[in-house]
Amino acid sequence: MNVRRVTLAVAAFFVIAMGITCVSDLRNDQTTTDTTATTSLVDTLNYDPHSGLVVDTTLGLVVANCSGCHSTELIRKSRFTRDGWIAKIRWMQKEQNLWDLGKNEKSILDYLEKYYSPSSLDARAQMRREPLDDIQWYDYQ
Amino acid sequence: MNDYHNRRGFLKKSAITTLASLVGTKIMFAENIPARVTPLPLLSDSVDGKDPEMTVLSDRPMNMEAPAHLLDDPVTPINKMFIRNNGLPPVKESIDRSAWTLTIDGESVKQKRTYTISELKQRFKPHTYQLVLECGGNGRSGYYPPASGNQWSQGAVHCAAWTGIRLKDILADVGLKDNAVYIGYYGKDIHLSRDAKKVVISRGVPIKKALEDETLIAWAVNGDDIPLFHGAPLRLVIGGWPASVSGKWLHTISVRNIVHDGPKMGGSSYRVPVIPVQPGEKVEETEENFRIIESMPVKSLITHPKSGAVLSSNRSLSVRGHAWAGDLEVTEVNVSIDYGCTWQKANLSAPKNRLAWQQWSAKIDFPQNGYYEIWVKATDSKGVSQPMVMPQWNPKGYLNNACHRIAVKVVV
Ligand code: HEC
Repeated sequence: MNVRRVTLAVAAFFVIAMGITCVSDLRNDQTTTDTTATTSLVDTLNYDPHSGLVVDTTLGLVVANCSGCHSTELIRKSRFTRDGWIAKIRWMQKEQNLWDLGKNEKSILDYLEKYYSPSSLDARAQMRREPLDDIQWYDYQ
Repeated sequence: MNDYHNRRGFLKKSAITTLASLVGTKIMFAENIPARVTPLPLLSDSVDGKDPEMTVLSDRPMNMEAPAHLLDDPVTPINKMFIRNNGLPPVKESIDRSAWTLTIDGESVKQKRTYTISELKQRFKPHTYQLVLECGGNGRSGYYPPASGNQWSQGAVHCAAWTGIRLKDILADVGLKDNAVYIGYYGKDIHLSRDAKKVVISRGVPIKKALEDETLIAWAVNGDDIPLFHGAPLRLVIGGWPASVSGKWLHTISVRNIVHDGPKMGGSSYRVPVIPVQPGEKVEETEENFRIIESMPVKSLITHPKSGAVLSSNRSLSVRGHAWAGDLEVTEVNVSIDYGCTWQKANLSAPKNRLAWQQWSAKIDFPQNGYYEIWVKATDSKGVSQPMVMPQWNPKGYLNNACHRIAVKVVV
C-alpha cells in the first residue's frame, strides 16, 4: 500500500513536472505574439454600455445587423476565427433568416475577428483545466 | 403579439443589457436593477421569481443557469431551475390552459387524435417522477478551442418533480403502427426572427425511449402549474437525455416512421462526431460524421459548501451534492483533496425513482492548513467514471462531464 502510494506520488510528480514544462513551452511561444498583443489591446478597449460590445467605427453596423434577433451577449461570449465567424453567419443565413449582409459583411467580419477571436482569450486556454479563478472567499461556519 | 414584441423592444434598451455589459457575465437580478426601470415584470412570471444569484448568459433568447451551490436541494425548486430557450416563449396572455390541445399525429399513428388538457387529466392516470434534465451543452465553457453556443458553466441541470401522464398511455390510446421509429415534438415558441412559419426547435427520441414509464407529458412541476419559461401549460419531460428532447409549450407529437428530422435534429446540433477528433478539428456536417446524443454521461456536483469556504475553527468539513448518469444509475462517488492522487469514498443514496439524481455526502479531514480543491467523481453502473481533464472535444461543445471542484482554505 505504502509502496504504491509512493510510486503514485512519484508518477504524479513526473506527470505534473512534464505538464508544467509543456505548458510553459506553449506559453513562451504565445507570449511574444498573441498574449502580449491581447493584453495591451484589451486594456485600451472601450465597451458600449448598451450592447456591451467593443466600441469601434464598425460598432453601429454590428449593432444594426446583429442585435435584432438576440442579445449581443451571444457575440460577447463567442470566440471564433474569421472562418468560424463566416460559418456562423452562413448558418444563421441558411437556418435563421439572417439577411445578406452585402458589402457590410467584410467590415463586420473584420470587427468580429479583431475583438472576438480565440487569440483574444488569454493563455488559460492552453491548459486542460486551468487553476480555479474568481474565488470569493467567505467565512465558513 | 405586438404588445409582446414592443415589450421585447423595450427590454433591448433596458437595464438588463446595460447591466450585463457593466458587470460582465453575472447579473445579480433583483439587487442590481436600478429603481427607475422595471424590467422584471416584463420578463414574465418564472423569470422574475428566479433566485437573484442565477447567472444570465443571454436575455434574448433567455438562457440562465444556477451556480452549483444553489442546486443543493434534492428536488430543485423552480426559482433555481436553469432556462435554455431557443426562441421566445409564446405570449403569456395567449396561453389558455382550458383551450390548449395536444395533437398526436405522424406517419406511424393509426389515426390522428387531439386532446384538451382536461381530457388528458381525466382519461389517463397521472404519475410524478423526479427527473434530471440537463442541457446537452452544460459545461461547454470548459472546452478549448471554444465551442459555439451558450457558454454554460455547470449549472444547466436540475432535478424537479414532474407530474403528468405517461406518453406511452396516450400513444396506446391513439394506436401505433408497427413501423414507428421516433417521436418528434412541436411547441408554440416564437422564432427569434419573428417569422411565424419557422419552427424554433423540434426534436425527439427513439420510440423505445418514448415508451419508457418515466417519459411524461407534464402539466405540473413541484406541485404547481408549469411556469411560462419552463414550457407552460404542457411539455414533454424525458429524463437522462439532453434536455432539448423535452419539448416545451407542447401542442403536437408526431410519431415518425423515420428518425425525426425537425430543426436541431440534423447537422451538428445535439450531435457529436462518430470518430474522436482532435480539439479544434473541422468536421464536415454529414450524417455519417455525426451521431445524435442519447443518454447523457455520468456526472456529479458539489452543492455544499459553496466554493471559497474559509475554515477557521475546524479542520474537518462535511461536503455534499448530487450525482447522475443519464439512463444509468450512479454506483459510486469519490472525493479528492489532492488533485486525484488519493480518493475517499462518499456515502451515496439510492435514486428516488429511475432517472432521478442521487445524493452523496462525505466528511473531509484536512491534514494541515492551506489551500485545497475538493474534487468529486462519480462512477456509473457500467463502471464508467468522469474525467478530471477536459473530455473528448467536439465542435458544439456537448457532454462536458469533467469533475466538478471547489476551493477551500483552512486557516485554523
Ligand atoms: C434573423 C435573426 C438573426 C440575426 C439578425 C442574427 N442572428 Fe445570430 N442567431 C440567430 C439565432 C436564431 C441563433 C440561435 C440562438 C440560440 O440557439 O440560442 C443565433 C445565434 C448566434 C450566435 C451563437 C450561436 C452559436 O452557435 O454560438 C452568435 C455568436 C450569433 N448568433 C452572432 C450573430 C452575429 C454576429 C450577427 C450579425 C451578423 C447575428 N448573429 C445576427 C438569429 C439571428
